[in-house]
Amino acid sequence: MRDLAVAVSVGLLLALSLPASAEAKPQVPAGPPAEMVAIPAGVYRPLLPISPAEAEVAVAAFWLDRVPVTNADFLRFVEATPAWRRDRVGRLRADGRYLEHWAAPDRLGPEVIADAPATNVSWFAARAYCASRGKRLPIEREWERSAVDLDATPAAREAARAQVLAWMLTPGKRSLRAVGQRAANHLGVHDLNEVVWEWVDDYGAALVPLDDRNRGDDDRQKFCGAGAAKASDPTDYAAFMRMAMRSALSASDASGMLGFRCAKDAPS
Amino acid sequence: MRTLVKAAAIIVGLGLSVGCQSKSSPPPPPPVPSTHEEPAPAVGERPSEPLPPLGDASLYELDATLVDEAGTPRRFDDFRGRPVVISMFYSSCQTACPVLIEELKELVARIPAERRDEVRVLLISFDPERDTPAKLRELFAVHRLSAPTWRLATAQDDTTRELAAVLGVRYRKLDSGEFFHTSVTTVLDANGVARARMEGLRRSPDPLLDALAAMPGPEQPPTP
Repeated sequence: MRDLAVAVSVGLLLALSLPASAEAKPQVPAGPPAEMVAIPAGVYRPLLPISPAEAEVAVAAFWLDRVPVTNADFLRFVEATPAWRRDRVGRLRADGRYLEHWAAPDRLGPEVIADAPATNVSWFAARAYCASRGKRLPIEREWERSAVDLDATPAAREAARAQVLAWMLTPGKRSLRAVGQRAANHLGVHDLNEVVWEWVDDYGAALVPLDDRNRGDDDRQKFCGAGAAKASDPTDYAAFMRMAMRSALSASDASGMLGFRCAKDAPS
Repeated sequence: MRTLVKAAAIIVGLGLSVGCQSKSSPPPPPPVPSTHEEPAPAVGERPSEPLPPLGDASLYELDATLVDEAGTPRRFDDFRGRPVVISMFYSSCQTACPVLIEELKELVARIPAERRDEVRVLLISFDPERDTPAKLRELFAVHRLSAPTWRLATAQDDTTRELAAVLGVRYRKLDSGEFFHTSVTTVLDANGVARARMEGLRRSPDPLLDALAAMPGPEQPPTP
């Protein structure tokens, strides 16, 4: 009994001496920082699977930024890392339109919405930004897995597609607006498919329909519909658009409608 | 916006393909989000993976580190000062990559003898896991490649991706461990600037040879 009393008082002392935050800590693996959301492991169905075995691709759990990186965020990065100013970066890593919408290399100016997604950012610059935050760009399967709800009801899927198409029909800069203004999707992620196109780290893996060793199969591409007949869901127009977008990109491209957000491996 | 135009052109092609075979009617193609006017490629043309334009930036800006067939870490810009023919491959590839190597051998054979020693052929593998230095050295024997003209190397995944990005090589690792990739051969000048590039196999190497021929030779000591 005395032992118990000692144990209790020691416990009380410990509890009192520990800062409040430590109480919530035990064993539970750390969650993502506030600006990110934990995306559970899931699957991605590539639009044009390379082989039947890859019709459904497993995607490990990871963390994804809730919103795209904004002009204000990117300005802070450029201030901290002047090598990424538009007047200092090499053309190998960013073409001539890199950050061209800013008033000056170190100033957004009145025309730029600070909380709108940072656009005119090349793949190299996006990678560098994410690395500076201890993050990385999401890969295609992660991005798609976060954007497309495979469990959605047909009606919900239809609504989601209508929304994407509505965005695509909005002319250029008019759709640029502050991030996080619209409802999050089923996973808690904002602005996917609603404000800008977004970089994925493996954009260079998109749409490689033919390897040189398969050149004999070239005919497959010449026949109307041959490619689409193999598509996992030929009605998913937005997914075709994203695939085509990625396949047309080069690493130094900066485009006024192309932004990015960062991801991070979930701790295992 | 140029990219968006390209993407839109590709998607129009794909979209029409859908229309040809699909029983459901696809939504109308969205307007190109651009005012840029550029002729779209003919409908039905095979959507190709466009190569990035040849810029005037040195690829050595990448600051990449490679590991060569001797297992020696080597800075990418160690090749500065001489013309380099560069391509990407992986050694367990049974089909396209042996063809690529044979074609590069033919290319080297066609370089005028007095310039040949100066040139380096650098093949970078997509597959650092399996393409160990020992494996790369085996290839020297299998394909009768001669040092120091030929250099086979790997890099860390991140560097490989950046190299592929600046070379315009598109690739994807398959779950089987194979790589799906395009074959792009690039000629770099002494400063690492890409001067010519060829995509695909069984094409005429003439543009590459022309680019090599147009490069100034090594500096000769001034004759008294």
